[in-house]
Amino acid sequence: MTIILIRTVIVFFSITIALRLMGKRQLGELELSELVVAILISDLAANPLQDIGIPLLNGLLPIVVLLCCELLISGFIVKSATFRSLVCGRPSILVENGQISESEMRRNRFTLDELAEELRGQGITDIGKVKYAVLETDGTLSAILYPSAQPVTPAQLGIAADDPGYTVMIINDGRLLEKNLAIAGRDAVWLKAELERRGAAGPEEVYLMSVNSAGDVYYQAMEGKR
Amino acid sequence: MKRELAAAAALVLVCCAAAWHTLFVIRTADELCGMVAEAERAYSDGDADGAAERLHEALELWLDDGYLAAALRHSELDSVTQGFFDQLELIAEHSPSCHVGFERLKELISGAAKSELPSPGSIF
Repeated sequence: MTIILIRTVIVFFSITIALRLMGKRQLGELELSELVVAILISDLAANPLQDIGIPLLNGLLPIVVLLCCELLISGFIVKSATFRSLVCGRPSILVENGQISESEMRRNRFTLDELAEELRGQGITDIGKVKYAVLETDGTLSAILYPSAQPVTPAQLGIAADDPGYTVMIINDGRLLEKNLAIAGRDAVWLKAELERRGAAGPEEVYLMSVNSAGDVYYQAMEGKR
Repeated sequence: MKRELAAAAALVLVCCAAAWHTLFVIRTADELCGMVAEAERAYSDGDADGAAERLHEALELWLDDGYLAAALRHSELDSVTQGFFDQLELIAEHSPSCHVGFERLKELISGAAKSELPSPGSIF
């Protein structure tokens, strides 16, 4: 039992490190090669956990090899458009100028039910409002509406929109993030004044505090201090 | 680019390690089979004690090898270890099937090594 415990911890950290090295893309929408690696890693790594008669190396070595292969493939994908289209394929335009392409739907084995489902997921119930619908290489559907169906923007109404800028978290669960304080262009004097205004003795009494470029502050005190 | 170069270097390193592993397993198996063959010759010459001693040396070499204990499947390790003890028992009993036992033990050792060699049979 101890062996399984130790192996599980080793495999867990190995997979975590491997996926971390592969980058954020591995955690988000997966391309084909990334999906293959994700499936293989989880399956291969489980073998030495289930059977202690199998050497642990038989589980860790494939992880290393898959990690290296994925890094090389993703590197080539960045460098070569041809290689990218070979490995990942090309996006398919399912709806063009409001017309559904039956040939593209057949080629991608995409049914009308699935098209309607994907559009509903994006809040679009009337397919007549869709000008373009593109099936991306990672399997997601991107829909672009006709201009008359798109939400109106402040620029179209001739309204000058306020730009709050980027909101930066200053205090996170009682911990002061000094680097973020500097990024927000604020200092300890400003922070002290803001905390005093809200009746807080220090950052440890604050659950969340954020500020944007316009100076708008979001503040929430810890429970029991409100 | 650095990450890709590091990945390529790591793959080359893994390939070299795999090649070293294969050579090590073959060399160790050859050494063990050689010792078993010496034990067999000693037994054929009527020196059962000498044969048992030689076999004990081979068994110690097999059991003391930490790398093989970590790298080979436990089923293979257990088969070879059991083969050694079975053969020592046959020698002690002066069994008529002792010579067959020597061949079987050599086959077990070389079989454990062959299972680590890349071949169409082992890959597919």
